[in-house]
Amino acid sequence: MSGAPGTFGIATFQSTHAVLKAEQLLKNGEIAGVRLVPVPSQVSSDCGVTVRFAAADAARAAELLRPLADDLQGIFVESAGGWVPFK
Amino acid sequence: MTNAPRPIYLDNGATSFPKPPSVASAMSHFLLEVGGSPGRSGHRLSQEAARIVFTCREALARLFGAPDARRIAFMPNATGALNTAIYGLLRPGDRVLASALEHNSTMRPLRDLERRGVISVESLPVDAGGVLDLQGLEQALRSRPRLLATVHASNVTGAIQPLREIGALARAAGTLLLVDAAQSAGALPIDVEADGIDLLAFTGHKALLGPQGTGGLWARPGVEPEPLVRGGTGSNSEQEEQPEFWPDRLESGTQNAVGIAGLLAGVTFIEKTGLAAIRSREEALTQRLLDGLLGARGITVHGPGSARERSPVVSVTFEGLVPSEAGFLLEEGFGVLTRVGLHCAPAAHRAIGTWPQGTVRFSPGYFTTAADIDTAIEGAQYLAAKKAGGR
Repeated sequence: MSGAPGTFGIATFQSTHAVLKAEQLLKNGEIAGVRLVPVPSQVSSDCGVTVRFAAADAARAAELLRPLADDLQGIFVESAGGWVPFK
Repeated sequence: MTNAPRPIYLDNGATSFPKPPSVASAMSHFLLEVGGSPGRSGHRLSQEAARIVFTCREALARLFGAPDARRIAFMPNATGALNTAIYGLLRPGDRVLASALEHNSTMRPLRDLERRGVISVESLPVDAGGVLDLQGLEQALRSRPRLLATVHASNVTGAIQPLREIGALARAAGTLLLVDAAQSAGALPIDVEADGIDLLAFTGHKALLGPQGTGGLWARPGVEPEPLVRGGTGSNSEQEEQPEFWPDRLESGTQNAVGIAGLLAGVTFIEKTGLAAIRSREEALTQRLLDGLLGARGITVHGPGSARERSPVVSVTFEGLVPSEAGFLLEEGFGVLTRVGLHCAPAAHRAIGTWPQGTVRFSPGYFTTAADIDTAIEGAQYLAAKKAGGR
């Protein structure tokens, strides 16, 4: 399921390098709303950043991020209850 | 005011100078406009710093043919990378082969571990031109040592080592190949896959045209050196254990982002100019230098006779004139800046017969001109002739 219009998805990674690679892959893949944001504290207590995108594109984003599977911690989408794992 | 001649910088083997102007402007831009700590905070200046580090890592991966940029960890220099590879991988009882051309940045860590009884080290002979003897290597690899350490190009003679053949032999023996690319990264083609390299140590401030204080280590997946330094990485912050994943595993503490910004500009310059064009220019300058020095009375040129077989380095000795004196006179009389002495690689000097006084090393760079080379030749010939005539 993809998120409701106007909501976001995020993908979190172990390394900052992978976050930036993800940003590049998603932008090149013309995913909507791609932006680096601080990791939501509900998802992780890390001090780093994560990549945000339009939740409606979550399925395509997950596909584009496959090359980074070994670094990927999770893909989450916004819901009424906060960030929930995608799929 | 002095009437000293205009400096002609032929010491690019020590550190490249000048750098492309874009290197200084990238560093200035970082200090004036970016300034954030890469990978530490979510704000845009931290993100911008992280993006610079990311982009540099990706550019280096392209340059070295590395499929995954995350396997490159930034270090302050090649020495840090070599120390990480050696101390981080070697275990009690390991046997190591090292060419007779190795720099002290490889030999001192190896000798330290050897002295403490952790490892044993076997030195591999080189031929008269300063190239690793492949037959001797093949023989030495029969005992399947853990690690083989070799320079890509000697910092003393410039002799380019047959990496691809060395890599194939090491691979066949199941021996890890550690390559010191301090002199070659940015000057010669490197392809970690095709060359069969397992660990590549490089510095940013020589042929990669970046500032001092930059460099790094690439390692093949599955080759996992323990970090020498542990600390904050901006990742896994909830854990007090060092992360295992690259590059964070080897990048504790705030990175030299301003230096890496400069390094990125240097690598970008190389990508735009083309490594082949850079190599072609530097090879021509080196050949011009060789042509002027080979056969000159009172001058002995060490290493391969052709620039094709060298990184842009030419080491010479003068009959009746010690290198330190020759270097001084070249600067005083001709403005030619060289490096003199042992170049931190004592075994290499023993191998080519220039121990203990060393050599005078001329090392042109991309921004050296043919006129600079001609002045260096004129100076060297003058010194040699004067010495010969004075006896």
